[in-house]
Amino acid sequence: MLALLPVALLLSALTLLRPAPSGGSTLRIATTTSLDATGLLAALKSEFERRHPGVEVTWVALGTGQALEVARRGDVDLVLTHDRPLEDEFIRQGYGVHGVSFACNEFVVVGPPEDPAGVSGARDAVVAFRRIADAGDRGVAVFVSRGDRSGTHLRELRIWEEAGIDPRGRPWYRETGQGMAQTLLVADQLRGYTLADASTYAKFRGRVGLRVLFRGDPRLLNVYRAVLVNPERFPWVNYNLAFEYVRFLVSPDGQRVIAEYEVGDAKPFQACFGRLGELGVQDPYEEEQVAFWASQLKG
Amino acid sequence: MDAAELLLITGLTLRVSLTAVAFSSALGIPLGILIATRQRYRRVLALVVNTAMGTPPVLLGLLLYLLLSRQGPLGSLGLLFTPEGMVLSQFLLTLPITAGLTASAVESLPRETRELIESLATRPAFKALLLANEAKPQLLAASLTALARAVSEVGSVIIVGGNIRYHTRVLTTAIVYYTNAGEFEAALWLGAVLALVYLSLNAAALAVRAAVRE
Repeated sequence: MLALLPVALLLSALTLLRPAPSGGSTLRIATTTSLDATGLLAALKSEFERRHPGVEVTWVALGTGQALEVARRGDVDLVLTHDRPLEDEFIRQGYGVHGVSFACNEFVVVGPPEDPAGVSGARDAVVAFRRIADAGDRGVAVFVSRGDRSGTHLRELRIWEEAGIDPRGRPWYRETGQGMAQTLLVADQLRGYTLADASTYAKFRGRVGLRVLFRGDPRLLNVYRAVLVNPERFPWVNYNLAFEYVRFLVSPDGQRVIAEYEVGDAKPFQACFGRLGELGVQDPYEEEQVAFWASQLKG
Repeated sequence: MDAAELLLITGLTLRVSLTAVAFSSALGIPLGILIATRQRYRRVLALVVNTAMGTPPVLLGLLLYLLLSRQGPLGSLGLLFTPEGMVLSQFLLTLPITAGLTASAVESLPRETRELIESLATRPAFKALLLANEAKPQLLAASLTALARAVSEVGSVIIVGGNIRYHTRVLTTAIVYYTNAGEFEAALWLGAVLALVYLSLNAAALAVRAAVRE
């Protein structure tokens, strides 16, 4: 019991030493590794902070599943993630409000250039995955999975489900449980296939021997969405600043930063506020929110 | 990453680790002396401390995350994703190290010295102070060992601190970030700086131990 006294002292000292709670000026975002590792968030940060002096944008980069979990505990003000079903659930359960899509690109199936599974001729992503599974069962191919409940991993699992294959536990199916970068490196070493977001792959293209073997299926559309953490549920969140930030993301200026952002010689993101319908996603909630944010832009 | 950021990261690493180890020494050294001089429960306490020394940092990080999260028992302190939260993490991580190494340092003092101090007719606190004085160099080495551990740890600080650029990014978590981002050169440079910090701490600990033997 005596030992608790210094611990309590330390805790109070830490609390007192803290710079005054910077509630008004610090925005805390939980986001996915791809937006962070490509440097897009840093570009958006500097533009936003230039327009709002004294404001600081900070973020923790996690997988989509984990980012939403952190937000479910009210530890951040805003999430930027890329898995619609999980985000829908998050919103439906009342944790998030005013979710809106702001950027997109695509997932690509990458693998060794000799393509032992013959993925490059596939009609769609489901067929491509079936071919990988067949080649895996024949012992000529390996699939490397993120295995970390990230947006990319969840997408991969849905394609397997649609293909009617349960890959877990199969000898050709390797789960890294790590980020996209490590997973690409592992896939490269194992001469295996993996599903990658185009932006992270663009960054690693020069370092790995993997090539894009399949792309273009609408199932592989990768949409990033911003969802504000519900201030009625968590009164301490910095809703106003999160709101301003999202308003910036969907504004013409913010959309231009996203569309013009370059990694190497590639522009890995498209601006897609209000464009989901064109891209083949029909979602009444999205349309309602696009109308809401568009009305906020005028004000 | 430019030189200014490298400096910031290194500075934060040292600030967090030094603060944490100052606290864990302040508590761990008296605790270690207590363990070494107690008759009752000594073995049990030693067992607890030695087990705690081997706590996987990620487990500590997870527990602290749940504790410090806004919805956790200590959520109102607002320590999650702050340098102060990281200090708490490194404090708890190094406490068993300072306590354990202090206990074994005191136990390995010459028997005559210990018996002499024990036999003095004075308050226990003063006896503890005399014991600490006898084991001074070993205690310094214990703190330096704890510091080296705090500086080189990644599992807990990345969960509790969140690896936020300019805020809670320390040398180890910066290496994780730049590896994730595919910027291996930056990661290697950070590794070199970390190795340098770690090396000088260990060299200091070694020098202290060598001075003891003379």
